[in-house]
Amino acid sequence: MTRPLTRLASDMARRCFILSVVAITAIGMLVIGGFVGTRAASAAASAPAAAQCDPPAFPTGAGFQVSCTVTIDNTVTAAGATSSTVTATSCLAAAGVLPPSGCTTTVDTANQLVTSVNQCNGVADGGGSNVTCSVSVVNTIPTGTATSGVTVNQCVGSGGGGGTQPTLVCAPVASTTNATVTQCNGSANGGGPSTRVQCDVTGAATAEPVTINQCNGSSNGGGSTVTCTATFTNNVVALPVTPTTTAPTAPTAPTAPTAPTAPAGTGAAGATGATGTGGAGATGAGGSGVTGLTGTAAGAGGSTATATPTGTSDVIPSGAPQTGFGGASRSHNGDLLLAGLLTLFGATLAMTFAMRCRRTFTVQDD
Amino acid sequence: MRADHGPGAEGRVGRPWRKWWVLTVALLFIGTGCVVLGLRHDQHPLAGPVKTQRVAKASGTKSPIAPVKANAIPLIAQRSTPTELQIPAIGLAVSLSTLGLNSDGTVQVPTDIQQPGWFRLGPSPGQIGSAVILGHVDSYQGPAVFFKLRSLVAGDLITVNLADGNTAEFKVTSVAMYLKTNFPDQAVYGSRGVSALQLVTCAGAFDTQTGHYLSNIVVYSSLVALVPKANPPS
Repeated sequence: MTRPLTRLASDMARRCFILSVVAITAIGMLVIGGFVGTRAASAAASAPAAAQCDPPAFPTGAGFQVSCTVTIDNTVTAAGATSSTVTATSCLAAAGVLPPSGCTTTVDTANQLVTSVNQCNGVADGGGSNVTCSVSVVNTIPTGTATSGVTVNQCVGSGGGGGTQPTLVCAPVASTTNATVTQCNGSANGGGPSTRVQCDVTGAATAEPVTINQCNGSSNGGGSTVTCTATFTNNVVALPVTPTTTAPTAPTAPTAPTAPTAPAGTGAAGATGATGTGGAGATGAGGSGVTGLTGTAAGAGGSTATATPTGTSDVIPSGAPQTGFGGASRSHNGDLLLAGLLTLFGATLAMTFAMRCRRTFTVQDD
Repeated sequence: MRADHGPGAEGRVGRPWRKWWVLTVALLFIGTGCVVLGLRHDQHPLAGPVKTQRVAKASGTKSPIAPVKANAIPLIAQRSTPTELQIPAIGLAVSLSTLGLNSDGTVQVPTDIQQPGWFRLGPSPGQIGSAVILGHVDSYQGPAVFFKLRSLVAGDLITVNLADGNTAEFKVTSVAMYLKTNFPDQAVYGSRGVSALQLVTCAGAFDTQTGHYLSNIVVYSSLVALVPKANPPS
């Protein structure tokens, strides 16, 4: 009689023990996972190339207003780390309907520098269309970064088909193989208004090689216009300067800080290339005669120069802001406390089993 | 007596309660350790940004003609004092104060730990340039208004209501943490030719000697929309 009882108690104890070990292991893994694990880092989006406003996403037909802008922010830190942000706005509407109608804006970031941009190529060739596209490359680079010249290949084979001269307003009209900027070639050849091809490149040097290919083979129907710009800006960031210690001077009477006054919306005139000459006549004079959908494309050939308030950015505070007092970092760790209390509860259960088990065996021994 | 437990069934059983005692001791040790560590009034660094990227929803638009907000206006705002900051991703909706410079050229920080401040000597949100809003990550006792800022990821929406009634909407482009000894003044406050908004707070390890954190977190965002105030019904 004693043996079956003993075996029963032994089996029960063994099962409980195994269950406890499994439970403890699970809790332990959860705890360890909670503390060691971090949120999975997704792979950085690779964006060495940016492209938009090209077929088939954008149409090749007649009577469209295509307005696309892309800003490439390439950043290289003093330590050599790279990152990029591509802010792209693409707008598609009927001819004469200006942004922001039909616009979509996307922002993509990556840990790589963007090396090429392709947009507004082979679109809106049906006549009565206006293609207005721009690329802005902003390189933020540490002091001492080498730069290279910007070569241009633009406005070659464009502006043909008749119409009032000059049909081309390009600075410069240049043919260069493997150029940094290739734009406005083979475009707006359907005839039509004067100055229907307006393209320029701003910025003579770029710190990071970015190839721009835009507005080629586009807007070739009658009465169509092409207005495209490419801009390169290099922001050189000075390396951090180690503060030098100076001998303390005798204290002087404090003077009132000359805090800068709040800017009243002043600033340099913003938009460049804003010599709006409204060349988008939708009548297709001398061209293939395809009129725009609305026939009201006045002023689409260029935007008016609105000197928008740009605020001020010349007030750069020094040093890093002190925006914390340590309360959160010194607070109790709730997760760890919960795990500890659960474990202590398990210890109590185990101790209870141990005492009951021993009592059973003591009775059997007696 | 131990001799009573021979090689038979009793011998195999032995003294099973010993296992339970061993388990009890082990659990007591682990549990006590967890509780002590959890209660320890010590510094643990505030983690850095979450290294996750989201693709902006708009990039997945199939139609080339995407719908836009009916009352959207061109993406350049007039100068106007920001009055309220909203970040739905972290459940934040709070009014804003204004900040200037200290006499030593450093930026002022908010006096109210639960209210961020806009650096009024820079552009206002929506203007060309970098608007900057600073807030505290914590007080002496616990989390403050920007405590969850580091959990923002690319694509999160930030909305700023302006005093003129318009609303500027930004999307987070990146979140970065810098040592304060290497704080990128120019990148945070300088203009990049676009409308940007930077949110700044503290993070990283806490230095009990100085009473400050050793790092800053900067949330970079770009303007995606300007929504004018709703006109009253005529």
